[in-house]
Amino acid sequence: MTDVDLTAAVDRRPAVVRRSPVAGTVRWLLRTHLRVAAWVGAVAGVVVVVILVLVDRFGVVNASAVPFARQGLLWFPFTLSSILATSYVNVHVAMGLTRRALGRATVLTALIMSLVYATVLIAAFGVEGVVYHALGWPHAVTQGLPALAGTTGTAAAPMLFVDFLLLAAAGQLCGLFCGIVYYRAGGLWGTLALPLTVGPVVALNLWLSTEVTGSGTNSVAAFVQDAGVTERIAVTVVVLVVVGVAYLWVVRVTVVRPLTS
Amino acid sequence: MSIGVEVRDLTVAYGRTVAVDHAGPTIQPGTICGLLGRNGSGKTTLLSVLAAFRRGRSGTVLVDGEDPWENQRVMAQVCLIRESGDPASDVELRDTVGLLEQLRPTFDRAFAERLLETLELDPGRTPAKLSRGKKSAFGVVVGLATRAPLTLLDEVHLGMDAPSRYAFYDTLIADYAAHPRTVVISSHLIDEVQRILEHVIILDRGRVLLDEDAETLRSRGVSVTGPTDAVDAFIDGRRVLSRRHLGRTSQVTVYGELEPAGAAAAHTAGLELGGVDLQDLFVDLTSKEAAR
Repeated sequence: MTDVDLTAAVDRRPAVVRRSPVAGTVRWLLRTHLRVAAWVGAVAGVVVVVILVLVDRFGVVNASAVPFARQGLLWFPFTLSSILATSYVNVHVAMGLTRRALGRATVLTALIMSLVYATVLIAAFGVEGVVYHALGWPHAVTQGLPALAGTTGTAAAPMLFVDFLLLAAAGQLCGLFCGIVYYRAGGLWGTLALPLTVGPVVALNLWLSTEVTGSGTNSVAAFVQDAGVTERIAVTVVVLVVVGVAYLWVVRVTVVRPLTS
Repeated sequence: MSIGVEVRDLTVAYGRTVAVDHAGPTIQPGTICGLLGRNGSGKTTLLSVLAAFRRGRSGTVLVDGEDPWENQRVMAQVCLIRESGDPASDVELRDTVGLLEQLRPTFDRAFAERLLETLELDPGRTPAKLSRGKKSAFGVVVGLATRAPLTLLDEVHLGMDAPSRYAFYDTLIADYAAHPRTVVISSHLIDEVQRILEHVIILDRGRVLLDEDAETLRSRGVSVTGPTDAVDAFIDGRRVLSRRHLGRTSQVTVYGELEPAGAAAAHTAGLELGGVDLQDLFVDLTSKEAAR
């Protein structure tokens, strides 16, 4: 212990920048997201390079690897957002901030991170294209929105960007919704609500995939099969808006759970 | 700056369990108030409602004249530290301090850093890697350095060793004098905190058993110290709250205000009179309620 006057005002540092609840929370959450995403991205990058080398050694590389990151782009942000939704409510409210500010900040962070993920992956796609070209590999896109089927190289980039953007937003918004429902309602009701909370992200995953354009016999399958890119994007945006509004409503009525030791 | 609290007929329930039952305590601005009660008496629940952690089922809660629930102006002025607080468990203490500095208008970072040093906390560690006592100490750092006009400290001493607890009490008093505010302390260590309390609220099974200033409370009884025979003779016919012996000397706490004649008789008998011990009064009041 030191014998000092703890209440003395002797700080001579420059005045701190006080931030609004939403701006301060967004800044904090972005920092957390970016730190984790950087680690995961670095590991995933190494894994992809190793896989490409092995495929080239024992087979033929005939498609871009980046679009295969779609599942990761969906489920990694989903998981991270779920964890944040369940672990950050008490931290936020204990700092004297409203749940309304938390809702706005988390949604805004999700949208910013979606742009970050999509941009980084498109940049990776561009770098990959240069490498593929140098090695003489075809840079074909075989995953993603139906409009991407059969496209190659830079021609695929704009639509691939939209595909990544929607997937990342779906993963994060549905992750937030799933997490806050678990936090608000507890394990049992959170699990029973999974069709509502995880259902949208599973459905959107299929809705945005080329795999669902196969033959269909019933009306739903036919609608799915016939839907164009504009319809797919529009429906996805509507679903995400509904999920986002539902999340904002639940977070505003969420009580901070008692501490467990 | 200090703000007051007015609660009217508040009921809070967890399912069928009623934690706070039609309670209506009032906390005056600019006081250090002790919120005392046995385990499960509703202390944490009441504080949680004041800090907008949860809502009541019925009743009115006014903090600085307004309902705190989702009220940014009010919530920014309230700081509740539950046991070891609610910091992000995997974030370094220095980063949490930095975040609080940005988001809490009254947070004093320099004060927080001095407290970290005094309570021997490594700013580079995360709460997840701290012992229970150190986690509590960090809760104290946040609670004091936030300098919220309404500071609610709920069992913050849990796990802290005695030197750290006394450093906390001393710092609280000094900082309270320099930066007056309303402080509510919930604690089981009544012996330790009673010297700093100006007002006392005792909860029992969700109801307010007692709500008065500490001086009035202390005058509700008297401690009598002296030779055992003289003490026994003096307390004959009075309600005894507690009794302690050391050799031929006894100290007995009796309930009720001492009339002038009684005080004179005590002095004649060579007895020493003192204020009532809050802990004795608390045990007596809550055990009587439990027996009903």
